[in-house]
Amino acid sequence: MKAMKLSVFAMAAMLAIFGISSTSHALHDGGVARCEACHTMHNSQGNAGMTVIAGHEPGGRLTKGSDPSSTCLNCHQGGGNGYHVFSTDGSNLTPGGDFYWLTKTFSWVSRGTTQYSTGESHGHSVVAADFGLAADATLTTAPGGTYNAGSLGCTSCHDPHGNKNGAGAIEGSGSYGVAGPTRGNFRLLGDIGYQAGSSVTFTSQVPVARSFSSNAETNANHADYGQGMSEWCRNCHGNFSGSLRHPAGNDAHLSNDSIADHYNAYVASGNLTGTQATAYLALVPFERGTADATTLSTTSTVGPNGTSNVMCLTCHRAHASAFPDAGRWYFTATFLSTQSHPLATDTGVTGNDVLNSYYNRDMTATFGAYQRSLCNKCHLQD
Amino acid sequence: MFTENPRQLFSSAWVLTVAGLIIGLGVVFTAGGWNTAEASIEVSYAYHLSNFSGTVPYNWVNLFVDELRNEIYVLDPRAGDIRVFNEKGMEVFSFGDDGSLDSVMDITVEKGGDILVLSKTNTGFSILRCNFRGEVTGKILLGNLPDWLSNFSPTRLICRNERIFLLDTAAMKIAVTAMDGIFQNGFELMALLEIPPDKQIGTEVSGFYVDGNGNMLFTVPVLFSAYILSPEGRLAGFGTPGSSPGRFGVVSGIAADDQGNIFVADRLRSVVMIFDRNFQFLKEFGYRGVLPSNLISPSNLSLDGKGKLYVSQLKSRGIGVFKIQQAAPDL
Repeated sequence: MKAMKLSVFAMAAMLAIFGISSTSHALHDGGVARCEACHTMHNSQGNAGMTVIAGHEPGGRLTKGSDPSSTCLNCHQGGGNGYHVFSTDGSNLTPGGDFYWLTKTFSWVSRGTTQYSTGESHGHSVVAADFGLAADATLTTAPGGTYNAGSLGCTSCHDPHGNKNGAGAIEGSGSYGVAGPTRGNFRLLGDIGYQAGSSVTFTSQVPVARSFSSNAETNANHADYGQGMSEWCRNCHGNFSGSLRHPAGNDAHLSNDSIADHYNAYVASGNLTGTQATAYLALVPFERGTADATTLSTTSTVGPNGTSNVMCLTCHRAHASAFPDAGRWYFTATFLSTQSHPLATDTGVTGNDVLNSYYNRDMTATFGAYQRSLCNKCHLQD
Repeated sequence: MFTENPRQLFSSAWVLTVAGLIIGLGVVFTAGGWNTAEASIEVSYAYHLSNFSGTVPYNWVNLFVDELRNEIYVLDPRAGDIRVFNEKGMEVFSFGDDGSLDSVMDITVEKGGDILVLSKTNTGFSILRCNFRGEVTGKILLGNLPDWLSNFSPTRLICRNERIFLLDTAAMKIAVTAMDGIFQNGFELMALLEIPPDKQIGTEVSGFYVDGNGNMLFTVPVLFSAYILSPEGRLAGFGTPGSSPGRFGVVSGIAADDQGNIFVADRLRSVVMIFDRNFQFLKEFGYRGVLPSNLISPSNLSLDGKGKLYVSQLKSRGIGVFKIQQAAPDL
């Protein structure tokens, strides 16, 4: 027994000492990893049950948080971009956006009436009880679908087990454009057949896209999208396509009505001196119309061509933004610099909310004092 | 053996590791087996930080204990306010909720009683000096920063032993300055830990603490490890991934007492683990639940000099206070 204790401690000492030089390895580096990272298999820790009082037990699937999203946010809460999605100050300027904005309601007085930009309108209201994130009380089901707001969480979209078309293990992340059948899906998104909760089973495959490995999203450092994003969103928002709705999807080509030409020429309201080589605007991304992720470039500043297409994420962020409808900009503002909310004078504004709302852009300095809605990047009505 | 250049410090790591291994094994043989603890340590729940409405329902806040004045400073970055609690755990003062401090990231108190506030601004960051009322009386400007700190963007701030310790958690860089902000020493933790370039995004520091001897303690969750960096640049680390007692899930806050015991919070396992100065696991406490002594996703930790450990939690459970008592070793 003593020998065993000795060997155990010796091993621990070696691990302690030689463990200084390490390779970082996340709990799920591109796919599923250790079960115990998220689950408590026997609802027990330290020979004591984790469940103490009914209603406060671990998540329904023996997750270590109160619910799936609380489990995810144990790691993914934080600032400084990277793998963080929920900061305390809106500083995660990632393509998906910061769930921080769900906690921020802004108000102002317009013509004698108090107006609101409510937190729950700013994005997908994921339920994370440990973090105080509650279900959307207004949109109780997914717009254009049936998904129950009370079931919405990180695992509604992301498959934490990293399955790809129901196949087995993957060898690495599918987020960075590396080809191969054993690579996972872009951002661990649920694939065909994924049971997303609320009786929804996905029927559209994951989009083709490529993530960037850096900090804040900029025009030269961004997710680059290939195709299929809108089709994938319709797994839950199925009726958000068709007649009398803004087209989005693989067949919504920007060649229609010369929209690609508009996009490339548009620099700002009243300024049409742009060229395709530098036209990319991360506030208005598009899909390049390709199924080959290896051709995508997260540093490309090149604007669209005739095969590019508009997608849901052209106007919305997947997680949350500072604006209603998870908009990439304040849709109903006439002038973005002075009429977007949050404004510095709004009630509820703290810290760097205004600057963070447009991803570190001073809108007046970037576009001018009279920049109108970014719908005009494609539609040239200003 | 060690150099002032942090880039070169790790080249001496083999010497350190071999020496450490000898010391570690020496402890084993001296003890005649796996002695779980030379001195037992007892933990008991005391109370939660409160005001006249009851427990203040914080979620993951920053803590600093002003040992000289027996006060606990709590920064809620989401609300932007700073509250001060007395040694009995009752709120006695608050400030900062008027937005005058910009986006506050961390707080500390210097020996003379001035409060230092690290804030994010539109153009970077600032270190504000405040009086005991929380009124801004000046700024501390960093000076003589070396080139490798040109993009330094600190998110943590600790004042200890007449030094200011600043940590950029994402870039994993530490700057140590005099009280007037003049650079004195610095450390590139990425280089010390030999993090490969393709893994540097996402590898970052979570918990950060400076003990009474100026040792810098920090955790890196994705490495499942905790580290101690001496003022001279000697680095030692420990930690093993896992779910059983003493193993690391998602480690966060870290602190050390005067005896050298190291406290490590684990968000995923909902425990605080205690290790001795040789990184030998002593015990853990907490566990997820709703009893006052339970912990839900413990994060930042802080210690006072009187054996009280402050633990920030989730689910609006605020800050739990635990008494730590160490019995004399059996001879």
